[in-house]
Amino acid sequence: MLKINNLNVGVNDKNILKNINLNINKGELHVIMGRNGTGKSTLSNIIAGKEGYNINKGKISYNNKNLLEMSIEDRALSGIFMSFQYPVSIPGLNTMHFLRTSVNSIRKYQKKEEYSSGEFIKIFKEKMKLVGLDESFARRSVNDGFSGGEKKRFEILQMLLIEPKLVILDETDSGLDIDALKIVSNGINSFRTNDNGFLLITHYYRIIKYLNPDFVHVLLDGKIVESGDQKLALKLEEEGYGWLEK
Amino acid sequence: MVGLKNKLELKNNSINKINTFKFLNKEQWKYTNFNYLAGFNFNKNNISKNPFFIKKSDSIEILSLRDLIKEKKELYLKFFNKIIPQENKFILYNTAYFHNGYYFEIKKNSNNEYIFIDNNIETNSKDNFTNDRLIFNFNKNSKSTVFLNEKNIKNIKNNSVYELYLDDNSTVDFIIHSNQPNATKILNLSANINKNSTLNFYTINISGELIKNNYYISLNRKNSTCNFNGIGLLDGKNHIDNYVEINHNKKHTISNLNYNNILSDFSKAIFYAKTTINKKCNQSEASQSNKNMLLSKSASIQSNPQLIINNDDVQCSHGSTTGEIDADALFYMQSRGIKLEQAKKILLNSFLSNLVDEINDEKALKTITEQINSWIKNVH
Repeated sequence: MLKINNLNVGVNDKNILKNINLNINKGELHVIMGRNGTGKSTLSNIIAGKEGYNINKGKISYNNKNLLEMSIEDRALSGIFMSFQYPVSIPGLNTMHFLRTSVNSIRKYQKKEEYSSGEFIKIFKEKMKLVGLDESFARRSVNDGFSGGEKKRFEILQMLLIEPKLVILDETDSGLDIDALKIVSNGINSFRTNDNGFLLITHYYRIIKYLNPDFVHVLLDGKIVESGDQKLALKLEEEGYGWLEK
Repeated sequence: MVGLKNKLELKNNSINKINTFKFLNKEQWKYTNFNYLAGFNFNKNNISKNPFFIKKSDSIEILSLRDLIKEKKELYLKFFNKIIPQENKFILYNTAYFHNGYYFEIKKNSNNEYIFIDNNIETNSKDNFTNDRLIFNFNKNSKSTVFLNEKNIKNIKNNSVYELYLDDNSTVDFIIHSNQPNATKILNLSANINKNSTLNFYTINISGELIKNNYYISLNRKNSTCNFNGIGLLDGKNHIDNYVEINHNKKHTISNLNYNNILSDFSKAIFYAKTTINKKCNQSEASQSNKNMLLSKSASIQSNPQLIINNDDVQCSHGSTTGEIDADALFYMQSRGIKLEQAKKILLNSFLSNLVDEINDEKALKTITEQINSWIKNVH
């Protein structure tokens, strides 16, 4: 569903991503690991459509469409969802209002019936339970005053409500305690089907062991230098990245 | 006729002062063209047919100022021109030449009282200002809401003076809403707040050619509280200049001032607030916040929230922010499938929502929400 071919990305004069090739098919969960500053978040931002980057070379296709020509919202409407590493707080914007607007925009685009207020409240409450958020969340402003863990759970809640086809999880496990990590991982696993694909960016094995990914890739200095399965992540956990450097 | 004699004296006295008037507070007028305003006629009142359309709960007493002067001399002497500071020409003009006006009395121990006023004041000459004046006397243990809805009519050149007296244990929600793109107007408003009394004040100015508001709030007894909430929405060449003066005159007094502006096109807003905590006002609390969102590079804001603290035993904070729509917030919303234009409108609404949510009165809330939504829908 997502095909990245020979992607080169920079900011100003600096090259960040170099010759990236990656295919994510339906039903697959890919993990990207790597040191800080190697371009992991740049890759997720490029897929989500954030501005401010130069695409110097390469292509990304999503369901056979040129992703790089799609607007940010069209990407979302077509089923791409990114769980943010640092979700922005929006004081004054009620969480439920925000999510209903989002979900209904996407449902409308996909020619599904939009949720009424009553229907949405019901499904919102149901999914909140799944990620361990209590009902008072419905009255709060988006990410405003949320703890680190609450922010990440709120991202997963959004994923569960939006029901995307391709999910980018940018350090969704960062800042989570052990219990929260389990809840978030269970939330992700509950949403995995043969029909959707995942790209998880992480520094730690601890979430990988809950998610059992199909592929693990290592990004170093803007390049994918190694790909493997879950065992690769365990090796990195034990030995670090030094052995991959020439 | 004693009252009339007094009015005549007051008029002559004011006229004498106008002729020799010098500005006492230059900062307060620095950013608005005072000479331009003073160039109009303030002494030739035009009479609108129905200047005020008033709906009120039954127990509220209402008198025209003409009747107050004629028939209720003691009230006239007690409440007319007693708290409004004689510090600018426009107040003096109003005192000398006021024409439209009412005195409202909210009875002791009354509950859930309301006054809804549609302000239809219009001038029939482009050179003349009208002078209108309202007095509100909120008696002890009263609870009431006043909603002043200033209607959008053709020619608005108003010079208004409002005086609010809150006696002990009274709670007042006082809401002024205007959406008048053509208005040139000056408002001078004073409020005296007594023991255990709370004034929840809301001022919503949507557009306006040239608006100058001066608010003078006095917290005069223990547990006097003023929650002052303001919204300014400006586009085109709108110019809105707000001066808010809050004086803490007794210990255990509280003031919270929150004013948010959204400015588009070539509009300009001025926010100058001066909260003073006087000596012996221990355990007082004061906060000031002014947030401004600029939608255009040509729009501008002068923000100056000042705290003057003459006591160590107080809690105070103040802050001012000015910025554009948050690009990260827009990206976040777009990445959730919300179109850019809709995301912007939602963010503008969110910027105001903490102030709008404070409005308790349903009728006022409905009117104001509709007007804000309509302004946001059309702004770019």
